[in-house]
This record gives sequence, C-alpha cells and structure tokens, in this order.
Amino acid sequence: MEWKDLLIQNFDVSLVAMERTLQGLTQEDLDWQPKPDCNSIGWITWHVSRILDYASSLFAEEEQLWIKDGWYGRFNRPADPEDRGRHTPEQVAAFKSPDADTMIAYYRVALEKFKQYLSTVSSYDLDRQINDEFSQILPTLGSRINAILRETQQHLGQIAYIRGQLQGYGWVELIK
Amino acid sequence: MSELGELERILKRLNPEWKDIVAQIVDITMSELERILKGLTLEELNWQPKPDCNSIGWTTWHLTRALDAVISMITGEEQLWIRDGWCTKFNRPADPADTGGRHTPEQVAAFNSPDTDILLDYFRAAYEKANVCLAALNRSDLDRKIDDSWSQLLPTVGSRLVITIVDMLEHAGQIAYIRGLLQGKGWQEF
Repeated sequence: MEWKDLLIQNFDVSLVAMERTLQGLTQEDLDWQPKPDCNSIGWITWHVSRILDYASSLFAEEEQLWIKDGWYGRFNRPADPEDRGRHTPEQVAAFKSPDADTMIAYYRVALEKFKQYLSTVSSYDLDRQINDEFSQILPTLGSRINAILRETQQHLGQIAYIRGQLQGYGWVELIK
Repeated sequence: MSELGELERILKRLNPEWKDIVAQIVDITMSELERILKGLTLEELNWQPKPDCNSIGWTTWHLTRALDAVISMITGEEQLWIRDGWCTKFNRPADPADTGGRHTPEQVAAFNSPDTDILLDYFRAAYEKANVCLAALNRSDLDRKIDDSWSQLLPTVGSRLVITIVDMLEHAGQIAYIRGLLQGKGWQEF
C-alpha cells in the first residue's frame, strides 16, 4: 500500500457511507431540516457531489459533468458551473432534492471522475498552484486534495447524524 | 531548531509527499476542533438535539478515544487515556475499551463532558502522539498485519488509518453541525 492509496481508499469508503445513509430515504426525508437554517441530507449530498465535480474539472481543465452530462437538468437547477451551494439559509430551504437514486448516481460519477483525476497526480504535482477564488487559503493542489477529502468526510458524517435525528437510534440496523 | 531540521522543513515544503497530506488532515482537524469548541459551556457540550442523539462533548470524546486507541494499537504502547490519566480528568473508569463504541442511548445521555479545555487537551495529546507515530511509519508499515478482534475487517495498519481518518472527520463534521443546530447559522462568525 502506498500513502496515496490511503487517500483513495478514504474516498472509496465515502461512497459506501453515502449509499448506506441515503438508502430508502424519501424526497421528504431528503429535504427535511431539523431547524429552518440547518442543511438537509439532500442539500449536503448535492453540495458534496458538486465540490468533487467542480474540483476535478478545475484541476484537469475539463467541463463539469454537471453541465456536460446534463445533471443540472435532473436536479432541476440552472446550467451554471458555479451553482455548488455557497448558499444563504433561504436558498438551502428552497433546495428540492431529486430522489435518492439520482443523488447517489451523481455522487458516484463525480467521485469516479475525481478518483480518476487523482490517479494521474504524482507527488511532484502536489505543489502545483491552483488559481481561483480560494488560492489565497488553499494555494496548491496538495492543499486542495486535503481540503476536499476533509470536507467530503465531514459532510458524510453530517448526513448520517441528520438521519439519526430523523429516524432515531438504530436506523443503521433498520436498513441492513 | 537545528540547521539540518530547518533545511528538512524547507525541502519538505518544496517537495510535498502524499504522506504529508495524510499528516495535514490530522493537523487541520486539530485547529478545526479548537474553532468548533471555542466558547462552549458544559451545558452546551452536553446538549442533545433529541434524547438519543450524540452531544458535542460525547462525540469529541469518542473521536479522540478512537484516535488514541488506534495509535496505541499501531505502536504497541499503552493508551494515553490510561498512561497519562486522562480517564480521571473525564471522571471515567481506567478501561482501555471505554471508547464510546456501541454505547447505548442511555450511556450517551449519561455522559458528562468535562470543559472544552480538557476535551481539547486530550485531543491535542492524542494528535501529537499520532504525529510521532505517522512520522515513524514507512510505506511498508502500511501493509503490516494487526492481530486483534478487528483483524477480519481491518487487517493492516493502512486499513486502520483509513478508517480512523474517516471516523475522525465524520465526527468532526457532526460536531460542527450540532453547533449550528444549537446556535444557528453564523456561529462561525461569533
């Protein structure tokens, strides 16, 4: 095992966690907010998928799947590559999830694309400068990969917590 | 710092390795936890949005216990929880298996958090030990087998590190979410 594999396996685990947490949820469950200014499971899942798609496109200089493969249409959102969830509470509350299968399918392709990009990165690339609005705080490719991994896992922890809030202790056993 | 140490540091910064990214994940989690826990009272640390939901205090304790336990499994050393008496500061038994894994809702509700200083100090101690452990690990160590009750599921050092990172980050994300739930949007600006 290489150190890089450790990061890739982290992303592999994230897909399993995502599929488990979304399994069997209705659109109403996906849109449920514990309080009016809290993110829903659907919003968070969409946001995480958008980050992976946005980031690998930025790094590899390719078009986002969101646009290229028309995912925005399946989410009933505008064809805007910048539409990735830097939202006010009002925008979060207005977000309407598609069904769980669509959410998982977009996460899966966005993750696959990100992992494919990661497989092309060598340790020499890690200090490559990335130019966009985050360059001040996250200047290099290495710092971006770090931030994306943390953000992905943290958001996955959140959706599991929200499902626990919605359905109570034992939901993990219910879906087995 | 010696001149050689300084040189190493500069070279490292100029030529980062994948391993550094792994180490930085733990580094940044330390500073994130400091930010997320800042200013919380004991009452807030023990607050549960519902009776069977984990509190910020319980979740922070649990993720730190997991980090301490895994690192001690990898290094073969005693847990800081026992060795440095953290169990007493948390007012809990000196039991290395007391990690919060498989806690019932009643046990979660009965957990009484110490203050944020103690929570953060214990995490910092576990994090520093993790740093020392990571620095000493080579690529070949990642395939080393670990023999214990988890060996079937997670046979190697590398697989343990993967799960530990997943677990730590997922729980850190939950703590931030609970704080948002408690204090509303904008708590980060406070």
